[in-house]
Amino acid sequence: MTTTHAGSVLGTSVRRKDAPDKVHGRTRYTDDYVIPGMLYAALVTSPHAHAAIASLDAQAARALPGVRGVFSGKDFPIRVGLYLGDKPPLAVDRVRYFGEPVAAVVADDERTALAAARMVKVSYEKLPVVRGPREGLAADAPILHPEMAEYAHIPAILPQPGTNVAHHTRIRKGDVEKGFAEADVVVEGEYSFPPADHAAMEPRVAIAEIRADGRIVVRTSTQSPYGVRSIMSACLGIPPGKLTVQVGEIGGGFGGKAGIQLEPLAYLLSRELGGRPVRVANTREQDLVSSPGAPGLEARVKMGATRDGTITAAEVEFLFDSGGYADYAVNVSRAAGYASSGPYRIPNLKTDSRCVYTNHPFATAYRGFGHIEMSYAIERTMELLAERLGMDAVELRRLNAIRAGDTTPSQDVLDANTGNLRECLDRVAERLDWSAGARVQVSEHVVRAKGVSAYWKAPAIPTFTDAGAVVTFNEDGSVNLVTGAVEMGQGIYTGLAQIVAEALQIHPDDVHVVNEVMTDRSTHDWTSAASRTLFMVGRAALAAVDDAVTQIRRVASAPLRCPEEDLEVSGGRVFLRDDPEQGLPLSQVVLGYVYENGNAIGGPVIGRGKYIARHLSNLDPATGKGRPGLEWTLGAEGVEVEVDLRDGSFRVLRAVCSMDVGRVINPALARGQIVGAMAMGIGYTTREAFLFDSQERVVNAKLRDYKLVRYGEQPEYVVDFVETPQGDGPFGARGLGEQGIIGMPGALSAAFSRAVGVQLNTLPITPELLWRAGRGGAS
Amino acid sequence: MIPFDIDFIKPTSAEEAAAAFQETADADRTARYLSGGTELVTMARDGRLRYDVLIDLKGIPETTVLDDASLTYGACVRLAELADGSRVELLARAAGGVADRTVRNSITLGGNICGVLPYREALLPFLLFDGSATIVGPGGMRTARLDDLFEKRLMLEAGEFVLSFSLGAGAADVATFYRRRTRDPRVDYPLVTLCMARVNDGYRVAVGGAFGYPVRSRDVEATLTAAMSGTTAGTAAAEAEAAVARAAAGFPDAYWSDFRASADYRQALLQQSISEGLEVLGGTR
Repeated sequence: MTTTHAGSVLGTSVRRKDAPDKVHGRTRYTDDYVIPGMLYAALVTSPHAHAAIASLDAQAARALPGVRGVFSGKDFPIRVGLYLGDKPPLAVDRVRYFGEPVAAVVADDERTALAAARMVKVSYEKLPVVRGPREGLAADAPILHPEMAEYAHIPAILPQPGTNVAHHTRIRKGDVEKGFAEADVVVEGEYSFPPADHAAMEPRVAIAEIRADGRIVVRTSTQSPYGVRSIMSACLGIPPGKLTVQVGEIGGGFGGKAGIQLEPLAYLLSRELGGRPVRVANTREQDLVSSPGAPGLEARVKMGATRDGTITAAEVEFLFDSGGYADYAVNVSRAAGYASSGPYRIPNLKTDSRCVYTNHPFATAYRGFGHIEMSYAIERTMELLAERLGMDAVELRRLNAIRAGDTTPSQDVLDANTGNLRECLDRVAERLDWSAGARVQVSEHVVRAKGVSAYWKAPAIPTFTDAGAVVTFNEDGSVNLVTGAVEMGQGIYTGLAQIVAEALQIHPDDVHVVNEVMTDRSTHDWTSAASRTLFMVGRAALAAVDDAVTQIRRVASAPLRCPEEDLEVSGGRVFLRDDPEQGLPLSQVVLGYVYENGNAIGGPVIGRGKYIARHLSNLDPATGKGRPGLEWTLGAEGVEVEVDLRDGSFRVLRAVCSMDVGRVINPALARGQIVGAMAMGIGYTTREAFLFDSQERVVNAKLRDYKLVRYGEQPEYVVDFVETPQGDGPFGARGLGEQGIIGMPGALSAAFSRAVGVQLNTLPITPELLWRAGRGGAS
Repeated sequence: MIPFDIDFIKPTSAEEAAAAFQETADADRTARYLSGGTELVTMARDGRLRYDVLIDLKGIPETTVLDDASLTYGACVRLAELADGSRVELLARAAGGVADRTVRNSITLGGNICGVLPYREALLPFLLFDGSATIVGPGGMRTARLDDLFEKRLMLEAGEFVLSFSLGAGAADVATFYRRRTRDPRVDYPLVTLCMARVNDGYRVAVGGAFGYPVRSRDVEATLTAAMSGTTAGTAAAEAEAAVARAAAGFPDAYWSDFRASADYRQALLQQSISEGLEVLGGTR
């Protein structure tokens, strides 16, 4: 061990373990693996949003030298799905969205595969399109999945065959009629935004091969190695022990690599080609539309309050635009349902959240997972309410802010671990100079306006979500940590190293985190998603350290000739608690202790740790009653924008976030997650959205046209942590990875609405939209 | 990845380049002249363009001239070089407004003007200052006024390419105005790119983006010049505003509408930009 350590590493900005390789361009991503004998696949995708496949002619493509095979949906008549098995790996008989893969060409090299893919002739007969979820509910809407009754699904998901509804979540809390009767004012709003994409830096890619002995190895860019294993196992009949999923570091996830993506297709193609490794990689354009993105939403919210601002009731309708397939969107719509009050105490609440099939690109998890969509609709309504009451927007939120003892929409009582939302709101108001005025005229045509929002989030995870960890030791007493957590830029390996270092009171450089997950040798872990990884894997790592410490004390108790319970392990030594001079360096214990005469005892210390979510329960289908949320992270955000009223052009000047994170493990990492999320929220609100033509084809399906926020456009970011410990979190920490995005659409919409003097109820908010609103052309 | 083979030729003279094009055509193969390559690469990658032969023009000395004294600019001069290196402010700004720095390090003057995309913003200063182009093709070399050559795009014959562009005399000595507006991020195609100049108490106006392709309208210039010369300081504001509205409505071309912006927003941005231009350039008011 090269360094010893005195003092806490919690709350310090330890340098990221993944940083040196990343800044030197040496991180090995999935597509950096070139396996001898590997074949390359290229996809043929649909130019239509909804059409029957009339014919597919692959003769010319097959004739191209180097082509090993051309496959269509008919070759793989199976359905794969995360919760609901609704999607064939390649479209069968009909396509349900623009960009849907209809055929795959496999060739000796990428170039030949791409060239051959362009030679596959597919003819289509166009079908009427479903343009949005409300249209999808209409009595005469085309039914996109007529065979829904046959689809396999988990019990928590309730598809409605004969309709376009893939899932329906009902929240029935209190008595809304009574609640509205008690209200002095009632406001109602309709809100919507189109589907979008994560636009992660690394496009999705999977490489599958079948070894001669039947073992299947899939190397893939996934947030969910164990999810991929279990779904492939279930849908393809592969014994899980015969399938190894391997993941190195991935180039951004944001939910887009949770669930299952290109892996089944890569496996099926390998199976057709004698088990040779087959690489299926998205082009950037395919990654935007062919693989799943973020859902769109159409929402209606009605909210009532007494004259003093106390909310008495709300009625909420969320229609999620799931696109052609359900994927994670069914659970996204469920999460939006169980969080549908926003972070407010609403005693009477009726929510219907539906996940609806449309002919848009299909939707999966997106940072915020149901909460960003929910928050936008609720925060817009809070602004309507403040306006109607003539009440300060911060004060209204403060008054209704949820706290310990209140109940959630699923009638779950918030416990003593609940964060302090009022404090977050106060800090945002202070950092934003809220009292200096929410709208200031800067010059004849230019105004500056502020907007605030409050948000909350609980991970939408299975009730049995788990994590495991193993610690082993090296000759010098340093530690190796094996987990099932995936590094995707969030800095998880650094955070985990700090937790282990803190528990052992050693330097984080002496904690070596294995930066690759292999399902046959890593520890089982649900998925690196839902902002639960540091919490759960952190807990498992702490348990593994405890287990190792017990073993170290047992071995050391013999040479130190004392009861095990008198020994302490800290700072790279094991020693007598009451006489620290008497002890041994860990290097003499962790691989076994050797006496002077050569006798040895102990052997390698291997610490095992595990965690499983506690007290979670399924939602009652009729009322939504249950406990879906492990922990709720609360926070508030505020922005200041400057708008030129002549043309709607704007700048975001300041963005402030105050979040109750329980305990900050690494301030730089935490701030990085929050600022990154806020930046993503600016993009989500102002430009990152799919635009469709009259046939629902995506017209901006390339980065020339689908614009992201650039570094030069970033506002000043202020992040202010509140620390109300999460009793069951590692050292009191709770999840914070996604949360920074959630309040941004609401805060920005409030600020822009205030600037132009019109409530803006759609996204994206573009300069032209503001210009039109200023002229009375938008609402 | 571009999934087809390409023969690459890099001639060192204009004649050689034109001959190579002719030979390719005679062999029933498709040739493209290559300059910066940003369109040729991306469009071949996504399958919208296919060619057998690329003839790189950057080896021809005349294509890389950047000479403010003779106001001559080779077709293969990079937009970044113009933005950094030309003392003709309007040319530097028009070149510097396109794309982002990294891409401007590739895009060339000729490529921006002769490519597939309609915007051709680097052409605006040349339209505004009665520029010309020196063209080489199978029939030899010729020089043409852009006024005659440009109709939404340069009307080149098969096998012709531009060697260099020239600005009319005096381009460096007059007051100019430049304004570029985009949908939201600055790095995007233009909704409006306005180039204006005041020459001998008359205004010149060339517009990109608003109509898709670049437009210079003598009628609009006359409208503005007449309106502004007739006003006095006391009565100016309202009349100027009305004149600008008339000017913005007076282009012979239809405003363009696509997912980036509607036609009426483009018109509003142009009108506002012309107002700003008049304010900066000053008038006879």
